[in-house]
Amino acid sequence: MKKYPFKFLDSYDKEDRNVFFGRDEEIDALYEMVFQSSIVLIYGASGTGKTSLINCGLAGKFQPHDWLALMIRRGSDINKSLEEALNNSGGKIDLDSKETKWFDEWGDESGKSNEELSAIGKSIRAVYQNSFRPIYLIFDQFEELFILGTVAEQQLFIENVKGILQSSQPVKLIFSIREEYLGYLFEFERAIPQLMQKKLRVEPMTLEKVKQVIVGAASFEGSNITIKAGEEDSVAEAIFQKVKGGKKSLTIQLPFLQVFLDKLYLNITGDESRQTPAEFTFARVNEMGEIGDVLIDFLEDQVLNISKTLKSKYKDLNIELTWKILSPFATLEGTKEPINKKELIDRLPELSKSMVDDVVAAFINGRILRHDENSDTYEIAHDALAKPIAEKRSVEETALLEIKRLIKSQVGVKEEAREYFTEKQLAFIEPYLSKFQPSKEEREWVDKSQKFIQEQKELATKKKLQEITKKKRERRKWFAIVFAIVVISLGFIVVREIQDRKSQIEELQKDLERQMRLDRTQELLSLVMKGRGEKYENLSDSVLDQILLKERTYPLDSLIEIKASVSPSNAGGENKNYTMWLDVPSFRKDEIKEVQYNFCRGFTDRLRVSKDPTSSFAIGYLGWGYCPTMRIDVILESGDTIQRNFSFERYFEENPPID
Amino acid sequence: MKTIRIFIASSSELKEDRDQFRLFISRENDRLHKKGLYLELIQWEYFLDAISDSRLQSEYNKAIESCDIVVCLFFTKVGKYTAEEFDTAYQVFKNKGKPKIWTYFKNAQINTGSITDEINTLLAFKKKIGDLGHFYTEYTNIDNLINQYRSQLDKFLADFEEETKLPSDPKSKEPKEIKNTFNDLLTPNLLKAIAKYNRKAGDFLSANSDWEENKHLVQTAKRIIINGYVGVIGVQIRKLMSIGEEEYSESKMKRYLENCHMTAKRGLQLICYALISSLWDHKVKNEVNFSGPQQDALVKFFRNAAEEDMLAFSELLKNLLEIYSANKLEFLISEAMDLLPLLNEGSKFQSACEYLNQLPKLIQNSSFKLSDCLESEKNLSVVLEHLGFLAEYRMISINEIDFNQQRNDEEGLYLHNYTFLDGEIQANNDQNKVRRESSPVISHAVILFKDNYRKNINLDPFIIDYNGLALTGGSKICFYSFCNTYDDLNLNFNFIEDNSRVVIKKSNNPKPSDSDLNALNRWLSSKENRKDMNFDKVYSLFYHAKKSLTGIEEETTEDLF
Repeated sequence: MKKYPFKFLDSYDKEDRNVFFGRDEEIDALYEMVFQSSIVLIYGASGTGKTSLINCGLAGKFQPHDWLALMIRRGSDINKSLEEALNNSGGKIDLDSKETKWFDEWGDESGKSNEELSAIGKSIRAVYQNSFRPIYLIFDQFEELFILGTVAEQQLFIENVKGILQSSQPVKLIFSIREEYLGYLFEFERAIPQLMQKKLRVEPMTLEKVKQVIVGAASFEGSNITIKAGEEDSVAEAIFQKVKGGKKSLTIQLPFLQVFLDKLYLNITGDESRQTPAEFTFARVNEMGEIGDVLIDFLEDQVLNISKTLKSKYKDLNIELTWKILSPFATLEGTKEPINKKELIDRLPELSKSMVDDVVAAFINGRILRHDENSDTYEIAHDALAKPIAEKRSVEETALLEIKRLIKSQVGVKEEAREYFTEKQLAFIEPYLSKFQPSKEEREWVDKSQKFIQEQKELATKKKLQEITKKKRERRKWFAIVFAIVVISLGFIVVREIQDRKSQIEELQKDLERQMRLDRTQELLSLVMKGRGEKYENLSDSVLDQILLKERTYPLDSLIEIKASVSPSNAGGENKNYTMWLDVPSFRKDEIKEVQYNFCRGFTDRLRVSKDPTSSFAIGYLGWGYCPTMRIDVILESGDTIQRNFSFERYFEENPPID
Repeated sequence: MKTIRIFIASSSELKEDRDQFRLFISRENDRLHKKGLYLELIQWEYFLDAISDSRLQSEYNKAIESCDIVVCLFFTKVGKYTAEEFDTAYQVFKNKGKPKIWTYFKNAQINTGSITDEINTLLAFKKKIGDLGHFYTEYTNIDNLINQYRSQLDKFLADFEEETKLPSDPKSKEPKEIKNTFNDLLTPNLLKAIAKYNRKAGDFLSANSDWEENKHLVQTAKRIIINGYVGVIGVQIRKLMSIGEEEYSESKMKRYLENCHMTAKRGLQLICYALISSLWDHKVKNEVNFSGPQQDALVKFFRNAAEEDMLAFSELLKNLLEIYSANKLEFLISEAMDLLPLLNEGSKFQSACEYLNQLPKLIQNSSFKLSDCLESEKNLSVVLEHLGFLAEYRMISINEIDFNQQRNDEEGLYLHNYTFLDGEIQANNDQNKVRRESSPVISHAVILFKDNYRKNINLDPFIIDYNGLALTGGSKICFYSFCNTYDDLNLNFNFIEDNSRVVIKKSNNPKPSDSDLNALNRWLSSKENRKDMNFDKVYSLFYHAKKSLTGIEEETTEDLF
């Protein structure tokens, strides 16, 4: 049967070695290195084909009896995964077993004595003696240990690697890591200095290599792809240019090439079973659209298709929900995160399990997701897909993730070492708390933090009040003294200068005027306060004084409120005038530098800033849409930021629109 | 009438395909009954009705064991029973080489809406049988399935008729049940052969007389042998032990034969190279005279433009031993002298060499059988038993020698960096060691010795450590193969791990002369230059040895050093 030579997003393995092209130099270099050191490190950008280089290229260099490869992905814990991989290959050891104890007596210069062997060394020896094949422990996507693993997990892993190296068993370690994470290996290299001694960079695909891939795939015996005679170079070059798009780069990403080739094939044959032979021609390649990010296009197509197909079964399903189901598979930074079914369901509490199951199955079928049986986790088929998924998240989802991380980072440590959430953090957390299911411990810690903040505040207020009362008392005392002196002086004057009565009367009159002025100030103040809104009306002078005192002395973030108003457009139609501003005591405005209004997806300017205190930092727009929830950052002159959320949804609940 | 029983296993979703398949079988029967053949179809629907749950598995086993062919069809899921049926059939096949299992995956469009979690059972199953090395095909529709099936069936029937035609010739038939007996002969024979030379093997045998009964001890015994024989032979034995553990397959037999041949050949090569290397030392001291045929044998070896075969090496060995014997020369591996009487035609040793020598041809014609593997093992065992004394010798690759003498030290220390070469060396680079000595030793060489490390045979330039010379770390032990005598005079070596070619040629990077010390020092400070120097040295040593032992001088072999 003819063979279809492209692998789409899957990596190549040993069985594919006759369709794996363009990496001969790297394969040879890697093969040489394996005989030069017990540890080889392979690094390169995402999508350069590191996994294929090992599983297909290197594995293909070995005879079956010279190569026992154990592929190890981190799963939920790299050390457990390693143990499991060894156990599955016959490395399960009974630590108390006596059957091989006698072996100890013959330790020789090759250091194979039993005594020094760590548990992992014994396990490796058991695996080896099962088949007498040299063992290659291949740690694929090793960066996961540093992105997702704990420090304790990393340290235990270093110990395990030391144990393996000291075991003197025929075992080699190959680490494959994305190059942007090389720096994370610092600690690891300090403990295992030979880690970086033999390393191979897998270069992105150059035009020359792309040519080898395409021409190779078309020319091996049994391929169902051919290239029109004489057009080999131009076809390869055109494909390279198409996949490169407008980028000024000399290389392209392998997954992009694979998806492009697959798309090209389907464009030519329309045969989803990929059996019909196809001839690649220059003209055919040129018919393909200019594809910048083929892969992302492909992902979007899949999301659309799946949403449509499953719509009949699940009425609620739409594109947004489909993206949402993918969301837990990408980290905040846009790298992939393998998770199991339970975690996935937990993270999507509002969705039905059967819908999530069906969508996941459809993504597996579409090769967007992959199931790893060893760890029973699901993950995105390729890193390049993680970024677009992360970018599709709503502000709310992103915030939710950030909050989860924030809470986890605190609750993850022992209670003695934890810090309470700050008021600012709590303000960020609270609106979302009902939207995910914090564990009992997490919930308790949030409550405790709230209580703590409340207590701190009360304490501060009390202190301030005490200070104020103290100051008042001092002032009164001082007034009394002055008053006494004045009275004495006045008495003296009355006795001594009775003739100056006239001028005395004048002075009394002045006093009277001053008193009247004071009364007018109080009156003015209550007038001004009433002008600030209903809630200031009908308040006694003393209450107003208290409010003013609070507004003058309290921390700003307890005084700020986001206000909005929506009114129909003068021009009529669906458009409305949206205005948002900050309600803050006017005499505190000078503490504010600017206010940033963060709009959701769909708005052209997602960030709008007002620096105008005279308008109460207002912004406004005319339009027909609004963000369900907006985040407003109030940047203070002191450099601090106060975060507020404003929900238009709630606003409209409270102020139903009047048409 | 001969009956061929076909068991069909598939999940319920392929009922239609199964019904079509049944129709096809009945049509085939119309055609085949003329040939005296009948295809009997066994399907699970009938089967489940007929048996009780509790006996299900054993009934399956029985039914499958009685079948000749098991056909498995899969589409979007693998039902529990179908998977069990496959496992049962595969287990039976492994034990008996029968029934044939033909697995087909339907590759057709499916409505994504109909996908359920069960798709995972399919993916897992595909991976599992892939890992087992089981071959499967895909079909797009029933016509496609029947077409594929027909061609497989035709081939099967042809073989079936062939087999049943010759029931009277017992030799032509492989034993029905293929029991894995690989290494069963080699392991005890080699263990006994090395026991008197290797303390570990000796102690093991005396402490565990019943070791063959205990699987763990058998594995330990194998490992003692791998690490007991001198390094390069151990490397080969490791391969044989590993292939032996594999499940029965054509590829297993082929590789077993290849490696039986290679193991014996490496053994002969090693002794020949040790003898030639020592002979060169004796020749330099003018202690040797060759007869005409002896001279010819040496010339043949040095001029050969293709690798010699095993018989040529045994011939060379004979000549070399005769030279040593006639000139009363000392040889470190004195036990080797006992081989001389064995190298005559008709001796057991020589016959074994002859048998093993013809294996490459057998492999090339793909005309080998299981019995050939057992026969090869027997002959290899004969050769290796006679080389059992090698278990008393060790091989190391000497790398750099460091000198360390600090203020007020009366004498300096020589730190010899070396790699211990055992049967697992190519898979374990952790054998790099340091040895403190009071005097230096010749560096960058593979040496062979008994107990006294200083009394050794330097195998350079016939056995080299490529990685040691290239200063890359690790070991890559290569055996001299042949030289391009009639061409560019490059030397060809074989890497013992995979037999791949390694070419040593003279570099275009001559070392500056000793008189210009500054230039020389500058040149030596570069690692690349030192690497060239090391390889140039191997090259010139070979031609020096050739000149010394044969009197033939190549024009281009002027000494650079």
